[in-house]
Amino acid sequence: MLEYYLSSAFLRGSQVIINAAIWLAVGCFIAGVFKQMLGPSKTRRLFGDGTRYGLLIGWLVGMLLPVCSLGVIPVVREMHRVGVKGGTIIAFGLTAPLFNPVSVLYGLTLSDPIAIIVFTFSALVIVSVLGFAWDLLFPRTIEPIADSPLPSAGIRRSVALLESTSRELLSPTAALILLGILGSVLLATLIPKGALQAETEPDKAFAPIVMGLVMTPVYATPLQAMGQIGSMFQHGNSVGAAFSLLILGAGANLGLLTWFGIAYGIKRVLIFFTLLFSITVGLAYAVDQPLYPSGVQPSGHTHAFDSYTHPYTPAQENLFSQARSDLKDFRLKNDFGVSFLLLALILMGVGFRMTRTKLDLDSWYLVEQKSTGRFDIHLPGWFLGGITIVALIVASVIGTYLYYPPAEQLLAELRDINVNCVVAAKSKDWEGVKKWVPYCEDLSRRLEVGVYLREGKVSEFRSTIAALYRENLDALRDAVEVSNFHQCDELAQDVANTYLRMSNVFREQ
Amino acid sequence: MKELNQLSHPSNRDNATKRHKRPLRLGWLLLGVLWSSGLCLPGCHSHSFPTKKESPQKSKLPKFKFHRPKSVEQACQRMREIHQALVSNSEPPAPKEYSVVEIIHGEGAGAHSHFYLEAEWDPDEEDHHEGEMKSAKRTHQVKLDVFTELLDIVNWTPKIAAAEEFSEKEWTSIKSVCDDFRKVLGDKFGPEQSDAAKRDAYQQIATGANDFIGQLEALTKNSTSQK
Repeated sequence: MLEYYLSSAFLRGSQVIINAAIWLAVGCFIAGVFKQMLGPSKTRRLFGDGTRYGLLIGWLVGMLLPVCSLGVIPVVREMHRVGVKGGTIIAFGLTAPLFNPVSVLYGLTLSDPIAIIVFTFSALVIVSVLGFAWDLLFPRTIEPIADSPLPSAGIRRSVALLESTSRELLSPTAALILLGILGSVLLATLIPKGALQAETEPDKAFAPIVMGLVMTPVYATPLQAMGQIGSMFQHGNSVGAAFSLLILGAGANLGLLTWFGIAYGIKRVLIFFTLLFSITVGLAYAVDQPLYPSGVQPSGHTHAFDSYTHPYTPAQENLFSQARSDLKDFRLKNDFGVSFLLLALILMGVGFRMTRTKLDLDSWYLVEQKSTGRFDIHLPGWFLGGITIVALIVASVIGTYLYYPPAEQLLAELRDINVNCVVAAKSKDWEGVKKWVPYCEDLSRRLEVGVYLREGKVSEFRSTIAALYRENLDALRDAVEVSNFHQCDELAQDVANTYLRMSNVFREQ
Repeated sequence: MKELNQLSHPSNRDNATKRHKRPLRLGWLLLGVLWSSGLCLPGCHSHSFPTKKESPQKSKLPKFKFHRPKSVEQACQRMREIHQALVSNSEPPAPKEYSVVEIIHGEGAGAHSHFYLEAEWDPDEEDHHEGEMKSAKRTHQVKLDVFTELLDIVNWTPKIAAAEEFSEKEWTSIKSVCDDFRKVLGDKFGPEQSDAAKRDAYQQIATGANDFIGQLEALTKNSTSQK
């Protein structure tokens, strides 16, 4: 029994760290930019301090910056430290984990676009109401701090930024991040495998509430959440539950809520969370019927939440070795060295901490460096900080084009993986089928997004064929899961045929 | 000194405490209003609750696809058969009956089901999850009337066509015809209506329905003859 729980904790915890690694690094970097390049007053000004647009700016900046609900923790800590208004922090802190250019584009092609637009607008309503209510009820809970000297231009500023970024992972931020990860791990360990497959059917009256309660402690990246929402629309699940998943699943986690409690007090965070939950669930019920996709029939179950529940059943054996093998497959697909980047940052942070015991880095940062030539121009920190933030946003957009490549390129990759899947089914390699089906599904969705990005639209014809391909993959996976092996050959052939059809159609100009 | 004394005066301290507590009280009040409204919400969402007329077991059965045609040609054939049956003077066809086997995996909140046509289910090829999750078996007698079947086929035809070798233009035409047909059928076949009422409603739109089916047959024939 111990092996049953520990194997799940090991696998799910590792998966969360791999998924979150890049967003954590970016979040720590953004906090470092605010601290070392902008300074307190310019950070407050960036978020509309002294104007009535703070909430809107917080929402807008949150939409553009690529962070998740764990990566946003160092950023909101820094915002709070310098005295940004609580309402603006809420607007930013709740929006940033929900949307970024990559996830919004993904969402637009997965579901009816109007559904994602309504979800986005509803998120704006939630953060605005919460932010406004907060500023009204609890105005100025922390005094703005005065500016202190920023590091001098040149190498000193770069080192200071690097130190800030790396040491963030050794600060209380790390404890909050671990708490956020713990939420996901606990849930995955306690909820049995497959327990959430039938919980979001449209006839379940309390699906939005159940989804909100279950998903709040869970960590999900914006892209993961959007993918799951798309899957829910495809399977005819409750739209209200999809909305709860987005706002509470992707937007909150235990670590972030704990930080709110520490920063503002337990009573205030209880009020805040209850308001957040109530408004979210209320809106979830309001959009449930109107946004229900037409022509889709509920399939009775969904695999969208399998990654949040226990990966194994109690009767399975050798769970540790299975977990190691599953983690290895997961890393091959999802970890492009970013977890090593995170480790490198942590080690760098330790290095800086040890250096500080011997050197006075703070004084070194303030030493003015004279210009050495005509072209050696001193750029102010706020200018570079602003450029850095803009560059992050641009990188996010460029990353979108890289993540969703052109159809030709993606089909070349999908062809190989589809062949692996079909061959696995025909040669009765059931573990292989379970491994390859999610890859095929993911690539087929990215195929549509790649076309959408470059052509401005995906025709209904193409998206219907892509949806049919995923339906056939789903049917194959279901048959394998319940050991209906006599059907698998026929289903594998359906997958192969639909892939060919999809490939021909998407290659046509 | 006088100011310090004023601040430390018990009545001033009380006032400061009251001012501090006011936002929290407002917050709780706001919360109370929201919770009360929230409790009313499920009541407004009556579509989600099974009505007393439906048995809990029936309401849990998903939409079955055992009658889904394998090709557009088959879909057109079946639509034509149903159309002929509904516009003729003879008795409407009796509902098709399926015997459906439900295999329930797991228990309680984690349970989910898989459904099979009993005629095609092989009891020796046991449906089970790895790790030998507890399974239970139930059989359901499911009736499918021609009205539901017709609506389902009209809804499914675009997706069936997508899997065949139609060009984008041909598929778009098929989809457009099916969309128009679906609009015309509309809500004429609601569950609260009797079969006789549904048949009368269909006969009123029979000419239009005949046109739609004719268009689909022509599109299918043209595409087949071009191959």
